[in-house]
Amino acid sequence: MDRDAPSVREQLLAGTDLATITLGALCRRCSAFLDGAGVDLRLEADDQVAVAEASDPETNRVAATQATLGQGPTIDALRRHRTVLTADVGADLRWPELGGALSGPGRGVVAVPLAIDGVQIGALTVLLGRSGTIDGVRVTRIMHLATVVTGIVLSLPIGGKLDDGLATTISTAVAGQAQIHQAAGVVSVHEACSLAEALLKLRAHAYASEQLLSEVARAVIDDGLRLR
Amino acid sequence: MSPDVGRPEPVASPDRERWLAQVLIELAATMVGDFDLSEVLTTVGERCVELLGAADVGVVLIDEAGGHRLVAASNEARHLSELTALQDVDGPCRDVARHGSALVNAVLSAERWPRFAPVARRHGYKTVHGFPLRHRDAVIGGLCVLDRSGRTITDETATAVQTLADIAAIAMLHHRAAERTSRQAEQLQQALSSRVAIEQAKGILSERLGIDVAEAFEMMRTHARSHNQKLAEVSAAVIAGSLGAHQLGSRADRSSTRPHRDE
Repeated sequence: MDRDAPSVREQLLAGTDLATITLGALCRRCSAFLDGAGVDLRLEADDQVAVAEASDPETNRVAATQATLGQGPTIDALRRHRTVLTADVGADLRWPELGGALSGPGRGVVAVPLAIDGVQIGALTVLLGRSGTIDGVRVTRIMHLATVVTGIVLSLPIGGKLDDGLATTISTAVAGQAQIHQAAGVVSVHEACSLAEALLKLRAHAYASEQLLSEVARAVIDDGLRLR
Repeated sequence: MSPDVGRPEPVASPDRERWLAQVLIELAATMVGDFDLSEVLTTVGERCVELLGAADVGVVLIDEAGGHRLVAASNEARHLSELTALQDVDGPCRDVARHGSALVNAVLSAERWPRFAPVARRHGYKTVHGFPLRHRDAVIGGLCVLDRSGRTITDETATAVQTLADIAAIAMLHHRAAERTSRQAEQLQQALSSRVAIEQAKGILSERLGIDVAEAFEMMRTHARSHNQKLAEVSAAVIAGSLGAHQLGSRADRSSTRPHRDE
């Protein structure tokens, strides 16, 4: 091993620091580290995705489709607390609905839970390039990356005050996910149901209308859409 | 491997290399997987007793205020805790921490340690050895070896014991780092789950009051400020239904600030 080579952590944080890096930028740096493969990062608490970002629109679409359908490698990695591999995410029998929603040529996916000492904080999902195949070296590299990313996320400065103490990295990414939780709040009042049920209703609506969960949430908040 | 506590004779020198190698393998095995700090430290204590044929060994942690605490011992005898506490005043571990180097074959004299030595002698000990638990230049604790036989130990043996003390120090530091990480993970989870709750509460309020989410957020923030509560607490109350829309829109809340959108 080359002792002078920068560590993975140093590579990911080169030219920036923990106080200013955004989760989106972290995704793009992970992507560069993996020779351009798509990278999605999501952090969750209480089984709800609080924060999500992707390195590029295509990866974001694959991740958002999984979130909408409630199935896919990332969902399985989060729920089962283990790494999930697939050679073709659109043709895998484990997630039948996903294939219909994702068009285009097959893409391999590696989804790794971000966890430390038994506490799971989220997942890192890698969408391999069109010519990319899954092999031991690549998976090892991704697992290592996940460990380093976990360390970075945990070392982000989180202040005691929630209004403004959350690190930039997380705050900027919250915005993308915020409307989904706001919409769940709206629907829970309108439908007189729990927040968990409200989220399911939003997801069902998204599925039926062939939209993404985030698009339906935007319609609820910005355009006054109400489900029935 | 079963502990062989209170072995009367020290490990003889021809066997020592092999014995030491076995102990190092044993300790390495306890430090991976389900890592149990007290198991590692107790094993260190027991193996020191075995190596030296000494009576008792205590692993002592020294806090930033200079307080001594027994974190593991070769046996459960109560007087070991007592002897450890005395070292807040004087004693071998205290000296070892101050000088940063080992203390071997020290006779328990009341002139040297007016508090520690008489009590140790009363329990039948004649000599004591102390080894620092080192972390870079700092000393985080000590390995305290108490002997009733008065037998002296060689430099070679002292080096072997220092190796065991170093392992104890590594184990303690590893444990501290792991504790810090899981605390960070919990803080992150808490911060994230509060974030989710705040967004949900915004949605709930906006639907109940027919206002937009920015106004709902401002209302919660104003209420939190005027009632000296955290935003996360206000959000939780909105979600639980214990904080109604009419309470949030009360005059007390409205008079403190006028709504502005800054999201």
